[in-house]
Amino acid sequence: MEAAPSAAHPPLDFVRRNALPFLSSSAALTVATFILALLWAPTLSQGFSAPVAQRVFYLHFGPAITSYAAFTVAFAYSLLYLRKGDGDADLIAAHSAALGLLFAAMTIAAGALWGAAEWGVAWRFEDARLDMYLVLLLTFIGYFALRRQLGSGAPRLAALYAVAGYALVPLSYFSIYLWQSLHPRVISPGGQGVGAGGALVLSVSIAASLFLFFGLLGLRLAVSEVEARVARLQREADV
Amino acid sequence: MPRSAVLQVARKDLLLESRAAEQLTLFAMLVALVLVVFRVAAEGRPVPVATALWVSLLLSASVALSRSFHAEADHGTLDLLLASPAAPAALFLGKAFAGAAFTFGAALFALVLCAAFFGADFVRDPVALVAFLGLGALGLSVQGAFFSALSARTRTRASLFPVLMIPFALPLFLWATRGTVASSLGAPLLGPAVLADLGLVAAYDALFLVLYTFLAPRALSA
Repeated sequence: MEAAPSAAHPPLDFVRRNALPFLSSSAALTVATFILALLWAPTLSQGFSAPVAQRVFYLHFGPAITSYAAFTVAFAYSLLYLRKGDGDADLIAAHSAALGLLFAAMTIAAGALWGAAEWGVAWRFEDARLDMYLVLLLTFIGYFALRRQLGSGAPRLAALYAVAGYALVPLSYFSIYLWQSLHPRVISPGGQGVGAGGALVLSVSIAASLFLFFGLLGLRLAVSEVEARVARLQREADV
Repeated sequence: MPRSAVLQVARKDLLLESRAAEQLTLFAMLVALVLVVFRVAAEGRPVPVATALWVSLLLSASVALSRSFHAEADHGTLDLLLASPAAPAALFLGKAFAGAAFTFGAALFALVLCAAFFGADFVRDPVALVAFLGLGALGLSVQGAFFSALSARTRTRASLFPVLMIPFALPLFLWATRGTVASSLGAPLLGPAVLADLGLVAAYDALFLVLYTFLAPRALSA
């Protein structure tokens, strides 16, 4: 049974206690993102053969940034676990990595929708960014394969794996600079930018995704706390 | 960390391998099988030889390199190694360098088989090819040694190893394949296409060699 996260991590304690406000804010911001992205954001016609489909970008970018943020949280708490052997840190790292996978799947789904309209195919294996992102996804799937198959040594080995895997995050992000890539550079240096209106929609999209991440993380931590309490009561009842 | 400890561990592995040929046999069998599959599947049509070469190396490495620490665990010598005066990081580096030698040997064997099955036209620039094979072998071996150490004490280590290692080996595979293909099409070694991929493979090797030198002792003591 998982240990309950204690109050030893104040930022995460705040997240756990405010899961529902985070989730409801995320719901409102997600609705706003859809409305703004589909009806209000400027259409970027330069360099796109399917300019209307380009609006999917506003639904793709937020989850992508959030997946990197989730893997960063998993990395930070894995390091903390390796340093202090704190079981709560391992729990937070595992939940963050799972949510990172969820947001990575959302990113890929939105990107594939856009790719089908722009390129005629959902995925292009010759693209560096797409390949590196897939590698990152596979790496963190490996993280859960490792956790599932291990016994008592799981947290330590999983933390080491997460630290190693995090080296692929900057590689994924910077792949469009390291390699010639078909992935559009919209807001990256050298890109055409999205203008003030587009930047506002992007900000709302990122906020919606980040709030969803913190809401789900808080909810998962609260569930872990209840599970630990039930386990403790069961042990007391058995005695 | 004394350099002699790294060399002694590598020498021990090379000596044992020269007697038992456990990893090299695995490598040779898997490389040959994958290339035969490519040859049969091609049915006389042109085959991307450089791709076949790297697919055979990636798949064979994802099995054979697991033996670097798994063999010690199977024979009950892992704890003896850790109890030796050699630092755990030296054990990792010694295993990684010995594995690189095996992988490079397998790569040369794969090269000969590729030339026999598909013709030697793809060897336009031997220096570039050897550079990619050498750096690729080192990279695969570094990944293999680390994940072999990480999974050595688990019950399901044999099945777990490729799941853990292949995602980390994929970038190497992508860059090495791309660079080897460019080189086989006549791109010069010092041209931007080949040199960029060679640089990426070298940087990836260096990044993980340093990172794993710090992480491997913790993996071995877990």
